[in-house]
Amino acid sequence: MTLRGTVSTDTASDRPALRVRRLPGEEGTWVFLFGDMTVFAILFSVYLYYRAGEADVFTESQMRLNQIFGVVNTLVLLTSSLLVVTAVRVMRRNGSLLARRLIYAAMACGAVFVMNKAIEYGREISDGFVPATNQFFMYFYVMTGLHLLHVLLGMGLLGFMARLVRSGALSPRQRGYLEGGACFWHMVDLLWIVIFPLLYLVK
Amino acid sequence: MMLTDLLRDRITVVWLVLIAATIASWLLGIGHGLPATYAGVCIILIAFVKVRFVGRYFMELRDAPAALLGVFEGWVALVTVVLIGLFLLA
Repeated sequence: MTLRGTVSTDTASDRPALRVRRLPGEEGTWVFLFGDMTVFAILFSVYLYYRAGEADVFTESQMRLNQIFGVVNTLVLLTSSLLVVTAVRVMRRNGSLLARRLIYAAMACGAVFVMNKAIEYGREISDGFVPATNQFFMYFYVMTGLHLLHVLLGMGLLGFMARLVRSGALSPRQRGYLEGGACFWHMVDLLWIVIFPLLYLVK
Repeated sequence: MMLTDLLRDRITVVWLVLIAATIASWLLGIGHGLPATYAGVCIILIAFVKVRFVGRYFMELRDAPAALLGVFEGWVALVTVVLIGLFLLA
């Protein structure tokens, strides 16, 4: 069974009367994305498994976190995802300049996320909560740190996408790169959607 | 082509639902006398409904070949069940 769908050549509208199934990005991109998402899923499972053994320590440590940082960062990433998917749709109508501005706006959201995270880490560390404090904080830094690495990588990809759309009309291969980069950014959003409740909310 | 034309679309409604769901799970996390286990399961369920929305609409998987959409839906279902199971173990 192949994953490759029929590529729509209809650029006038991305919502044709008959829905054409097509693959966003390339097959290899999806192997990578699902692999990465599964690594995180295992990390989430291990976290909940150890939490079951020390529920009190985990709940008490969780109370030390400031949920506002988590909420704001969720809203920031959701908004950046809307900007990126809109940029991809704009490019299907060859709106190169608008697409580039939308991607830059998404990068600014990424920068806000990183800044927030830096302030949060700074506060936790100055209060004496470091990875060695206990199991909870170890998982907190590992999970958010790995995710932060993905945010930075994603911002690099957004920069590449902004350069890509500058050329105007895209070849099918370039379109694959644009959609693949966009899907990586959506995965960064998707992972945070799970990390935020697991670390900050679930008691 | 105007940006407003593009935003006057289902995708903006999806974004609004995701924002509302984020606020809802935050309020559940603060807790209002709800049993923690009940609130916890609700919060995890809300998270994976959001994950599904991001996959289907932002990653555009709802228009993807059935095999890819199937892998995604299967991944979401499996991870949701495993995480809720492990959470209830506590």
